[in-house]
Amino acid sequence: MAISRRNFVVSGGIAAVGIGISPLRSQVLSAATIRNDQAPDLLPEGEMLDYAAKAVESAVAAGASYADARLYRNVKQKFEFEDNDVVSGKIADGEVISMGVRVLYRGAWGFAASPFPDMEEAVLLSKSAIEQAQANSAAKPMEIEWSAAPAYKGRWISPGIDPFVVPLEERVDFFNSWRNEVKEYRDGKNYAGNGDAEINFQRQESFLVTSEGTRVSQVRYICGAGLVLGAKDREIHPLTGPHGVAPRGINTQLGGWEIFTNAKMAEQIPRLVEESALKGQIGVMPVDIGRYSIVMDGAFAGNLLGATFGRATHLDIALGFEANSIGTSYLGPNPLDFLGTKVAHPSINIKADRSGEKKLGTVEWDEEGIKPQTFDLVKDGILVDYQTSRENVSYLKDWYSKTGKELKPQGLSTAASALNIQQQTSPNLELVANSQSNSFEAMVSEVEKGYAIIGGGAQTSFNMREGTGSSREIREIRNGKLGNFVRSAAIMFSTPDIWSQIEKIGDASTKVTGGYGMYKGQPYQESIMSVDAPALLVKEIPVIDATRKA
Amino acid sequence: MQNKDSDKPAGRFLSPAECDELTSKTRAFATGGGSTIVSINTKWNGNIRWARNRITSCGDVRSNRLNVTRNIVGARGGSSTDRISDKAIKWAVSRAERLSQFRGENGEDALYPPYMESYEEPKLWFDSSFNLLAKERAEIAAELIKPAESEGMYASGFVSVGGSGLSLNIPGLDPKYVRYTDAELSITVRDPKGTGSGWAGVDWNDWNRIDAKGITEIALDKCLRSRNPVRIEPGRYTVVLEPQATHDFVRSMFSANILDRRFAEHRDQPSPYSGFTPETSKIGLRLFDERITVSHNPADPNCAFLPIGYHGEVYHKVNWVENGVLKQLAHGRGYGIQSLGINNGLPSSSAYSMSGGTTSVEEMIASTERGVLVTRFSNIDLIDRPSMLQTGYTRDGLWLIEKGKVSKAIKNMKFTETPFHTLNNIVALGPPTRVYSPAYPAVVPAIKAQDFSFTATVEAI
Repeated sequence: MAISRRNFVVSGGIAAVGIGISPLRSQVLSAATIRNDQAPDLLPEGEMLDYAAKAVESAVAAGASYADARLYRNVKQKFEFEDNDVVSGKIADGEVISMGVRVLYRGAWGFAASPFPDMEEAVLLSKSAIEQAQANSAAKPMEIEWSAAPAYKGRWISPGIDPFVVPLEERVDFFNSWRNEVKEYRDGKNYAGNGDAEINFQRQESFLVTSEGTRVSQVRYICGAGLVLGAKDREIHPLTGPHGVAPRGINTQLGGWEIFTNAKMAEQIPRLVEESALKGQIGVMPVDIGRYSIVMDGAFAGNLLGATFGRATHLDIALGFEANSIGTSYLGPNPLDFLGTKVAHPSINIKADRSGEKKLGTVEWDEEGIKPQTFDLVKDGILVDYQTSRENVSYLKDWYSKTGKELKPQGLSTAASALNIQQQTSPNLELVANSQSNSFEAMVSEVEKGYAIIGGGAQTSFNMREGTGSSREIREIRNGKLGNFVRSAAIMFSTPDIWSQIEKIGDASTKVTGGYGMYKGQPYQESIMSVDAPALLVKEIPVIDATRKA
Repeated sequence: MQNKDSDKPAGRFLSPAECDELTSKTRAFATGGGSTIVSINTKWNGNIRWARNRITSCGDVRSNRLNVTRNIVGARGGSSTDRISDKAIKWAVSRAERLSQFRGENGEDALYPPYMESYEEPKLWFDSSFNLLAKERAEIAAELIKPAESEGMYASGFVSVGGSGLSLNIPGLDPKYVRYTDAELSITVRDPKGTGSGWAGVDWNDWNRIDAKGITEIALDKCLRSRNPVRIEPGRYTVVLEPQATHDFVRSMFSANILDRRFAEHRDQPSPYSGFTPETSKIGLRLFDERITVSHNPADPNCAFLPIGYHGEVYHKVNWVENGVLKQLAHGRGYGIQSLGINNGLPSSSAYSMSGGTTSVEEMIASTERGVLVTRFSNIDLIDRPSMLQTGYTRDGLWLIEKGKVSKAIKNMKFTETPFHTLNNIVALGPPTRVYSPAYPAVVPAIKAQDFSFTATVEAI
């Protein structure tokens, strides 16, 4: 569907939405006359980069050995549909804008930020950042080894249709049509629940200038919908039900309005309603604790990957730089002791990138102007790299030298906005699928007695060495077939063990791409990446009753 | 080209006069009648962070958030912006008006005419926090690194101070502006080999109430004494929970979300405070040991917080729990008018104070034949909301108590327990103590309790 920027006719929009509007309100709304613009224009690239350049120039003139300045704007909207009625739903709306200046002065950082991007502020922020760096330098500086990086110039816009050029009324109507489809198909069917939905639209603009000559800007569209048809009337037990059914293709991802129009929901909804109704008829049984073979679907496997290797291989975490925040890593405190050692079954290969199509961690340049690399973290079960930053990659120089790898930054710098100083983030992660045919059903058929975990997630200790995994959808496997849902079940694992006890890896048909968010730093910042994983069959995993006390 | 309509504050955050001017400007941009609610949250924050005995990052950050709600014939729409230029505000108003078209006319204005109770303004502003600038913060960091460094340990820490203003303008009511400061310090000291770890921290509105040297000493001492822990069998133990551990464990019981009366009385929303028959709560029932009283008072100098919320709600002095009996649950104004026949709400800010006793942690240890001393908990997950069964891990200092003495450092353990059980198995309570809980202040005692459930031993240090 071709979408163009357009003006919107007030009366037509209101009629289309179908809200019961009183004559008085209708009159008032006519008087209020909706503005023509659907969304704020993109920020003027040259002007924003000039502000950033001014800040950098000012910092260098004051003695900074390195400086960068960023501007950031995020325009976002969220629709929440509840109780089968879009009119009672909520629309949250807002924009954030910020400018941040970071300087390196005699081995110490300084950082200042505000929501007032202009030339005068650029100089003031630069001055404030220098003052902080001077104070830190006189106190206890890091003595940073700043790895070299090439300079870039350019602009990158993520593929997709800017969701904000689609009129609000058209978007609301579009999602109302989903609701109507759900209503139509669920009538007379037990357990096909509400279909509550949360739909998000974001347009992120960022601008970066560094003292090394980089001058770049990026626009990223992020959209997605959390629509779940649930088993509404089912009795709810801890860690069990309601068992939802989610559509394919509309999870939050890097992309614009086309995510929703390409989802072919009219075709999906009848199937979803049927599946939801069928799930409502499956029995629920208590957990039989013990050690079992577990088949985990791609969604759970991806979450396990994010919660374990996704965090434990952050070099800053492993070195102890996050000890006062989220914790440490079992792959530390000396990373060189772990590189080249077995950390998983030989069939496990984990790749990292920030370039994958539709992936949440994808950027053209990171927040320090680095073009991200694609790299292996785990190869044939051996830890071959950590996730690094420009600041800490030199800790691994001996390993890189030994293995013939070039010592260069991976492009993992991020920041929640320009009000936040940059920190190391996770890239998109991929657990490589089996090249041989191996479906989820085929793995289930190999298990005589065990459990299947579908969706859900893993929670780990503060060094990621131990954890539990749970889902509202854990099902027994008996004689190679999926059986009842299991109440209150969870798996308990040690990270080295669970990754070493992999029996089978699913093929590409079992792969699921999910979002994985992590908090880190002080003040906390959240970063979100995509995790791709196939289904896994893991042997000898302890299954517990999560509600059972000692 | 300069952004000519930029309208920056003269100070580090917006003053009452600047907020009033922005509010007037916002209202002037409104079209189509109705009313306009404007709230502005304006902040300055200064922070510094260190790890492995070196300063690693810092920040001096200003931010604003202007929220506009347009109410046209009973239909509301809202938007927000952190730019305070004319262009940005005009946009926010325009978007709020557009969004109001997508809401039903719920008649809330007729049901709930503007009303705000009077409130006592607690002392929330302290120059000691606002004046802790970059140079002072750097000097403090350097000073706090020294003790750990001299012992060959690694110190990590975080100092954050801030000054903020909340401006609230609801048509028909007097405008409000409250300013406040905040300050926090937390420190982790670790053995470079990763064999031991200690933590301490606290937050106050007033930096001068933070004993930075004392906190450093506690974290270092815990690190040194926690090295090379031994494994003990999981199981049920008598525990001595230091105040931070008490808070980590019970805080969710007294958070705004869990205390919400609507959930307690909702047929489909399981809540720990739901009654035994549908659509009732447990108000009036004894839920905890009779020594437990849990209060919420914005004017308490040991646990003060902002007396109003972003929507004009006023926080009351209230005892949620009195002598173990659930006395009140939180509710909004709508519930007050419709169900209780009163014109106000009883909101919770998630701040709380728990009563205590006079037994010191040392006395608790001395009276324990065999038990476990806990510094704090981490990575907590709620397993079951009605019973508040939680799981999580001990962190940064765990010791075995034998025959009235701390005998050895032990490996961290995973727990699976509910505050309902622990707060009914209390042996002794310590004096209420301010703990680390930024934004949601908390004052809690150390607790000695029986039969605390540890379900696994873990290797994480």
